[in-house]
Amino acid sequence: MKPRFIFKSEKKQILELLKHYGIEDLPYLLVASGKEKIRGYSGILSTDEIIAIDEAIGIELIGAYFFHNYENNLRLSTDAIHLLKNKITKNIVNINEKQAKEWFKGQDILLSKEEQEKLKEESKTFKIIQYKDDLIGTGKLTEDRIVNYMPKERRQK
Amino acid sequence: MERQIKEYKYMPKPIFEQRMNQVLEKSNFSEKEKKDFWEIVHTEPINSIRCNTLKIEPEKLKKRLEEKGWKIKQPFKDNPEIMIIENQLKPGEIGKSEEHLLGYYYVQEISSMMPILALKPTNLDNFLDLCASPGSKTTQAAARMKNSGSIIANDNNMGRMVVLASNLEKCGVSNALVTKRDGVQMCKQLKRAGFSFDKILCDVPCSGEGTLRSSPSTFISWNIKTVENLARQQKVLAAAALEVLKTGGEMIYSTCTHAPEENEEVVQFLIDNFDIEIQNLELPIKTRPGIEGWKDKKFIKDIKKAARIYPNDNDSEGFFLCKIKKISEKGFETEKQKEKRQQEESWEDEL
Repeated sequence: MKPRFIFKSEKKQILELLKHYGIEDLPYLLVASGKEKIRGYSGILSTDEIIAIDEAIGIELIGAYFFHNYENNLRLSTDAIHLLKNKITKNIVNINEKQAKEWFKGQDILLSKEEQEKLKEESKTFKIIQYKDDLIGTGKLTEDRIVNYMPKERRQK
Repeated sequence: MERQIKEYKYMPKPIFEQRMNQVLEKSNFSEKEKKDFWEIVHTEPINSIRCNTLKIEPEKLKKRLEEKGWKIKQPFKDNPEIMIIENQLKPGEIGKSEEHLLGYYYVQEISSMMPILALKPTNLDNFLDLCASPGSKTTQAAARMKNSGSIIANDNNMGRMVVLASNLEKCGVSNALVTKRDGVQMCKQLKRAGFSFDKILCDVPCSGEGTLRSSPSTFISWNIKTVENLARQQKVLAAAALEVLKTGGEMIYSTCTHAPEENEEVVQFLIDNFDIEIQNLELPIKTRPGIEGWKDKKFIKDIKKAARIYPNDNDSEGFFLCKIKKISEKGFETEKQKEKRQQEESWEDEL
């Protein structure tokens, strides 16, 4: 994988999109991974050093998977949420114990009429899912459900 | 906690038992301790976890797990992240909990946590984990380094590298570069490109004599030829790693086996070929010194500073580790290189 770093202007655009979650700054080196995935690197190596290492031995992965860009809507990975939890202030949906159990199994959260009414005014976009003190993932709010993106290997069996 | 005694369907091969008893004697085991050793290797290992401090504080995690009914012990005051689950759990429970799915803890055997405790990587270090999969020690290092500094985590096998990458993701490790290279070739290429490291973990593939409790099939798969072959590979790998260690840098050489051929003999090989020093280890568990000789081989006195971890001493798995400091760049030479150098030196003398 030849690293494609995301520099100033592109990072500025990403920061704009992250405001959706209330995130104002992102002190990570961002690296594109494939067409839509973006990874974050917090180590001390410079981009020149990373390129030189890649040329010498080939790098398979850099840093942690942070988000997937769906046409300018960023879906944060569960692990990015944990690393950025102190910066996330917006677009958080709280769920109850029963819904959390379904979430951990990888199921979508079906919203009751009451919940649909409560979330009526919310934008139908990606939301951070919170259960008690834990931010447990990112889902997409639709009219009647929150779509679960938890990867298979992270689901409770 | 009551110990689960396994059926003795895997009995040690007579040659293994005989050799192992010789090793135990070299480590000054009394008859009682030998008996304890042979008893404990037929029991299930205890459940130990390491709190992932990149995501949660140890006290918070402990409280949460206790609320689930788990009985948590933190055996080491200075390492609250290390926890033992003292009560019996349902099969698979430790891997199915929400806290595990969220990457709040890593299931890791206590003795395998020792290399990183000994190496103490910091947020200023360039750290190389040469044989990193499945990532237990890499994630432990990242947590100690607070996701700063730099980690290169390497494994030469695609399947294992995928597991490594998955575990790094789950633990929220963001300061690592993952590579998939043959360790020896990788070190050569890094050296050629001018890279070197402050700290290296050289936790090499081994015959696994220390993992009898979790992998009892080792009793039947063990054979002396494998030990000898692995020892040869380990020497090459450890020597390659030393080539990319900075002068003044530190390396942990470790295995999960008791075989002296794969432990002290490898360290002796490094001593004979590099300008290095064996360092003292400060570990929170009971260890026994490296042995001073095996068969017809005598090892350097300082080998006593290496640590042997036996299962009966700490109710853990078995392990070996040795901390090595690089004093100068004097490195390993093949016979051909040595010949060439001597020839050049003699020409210089003549001139």
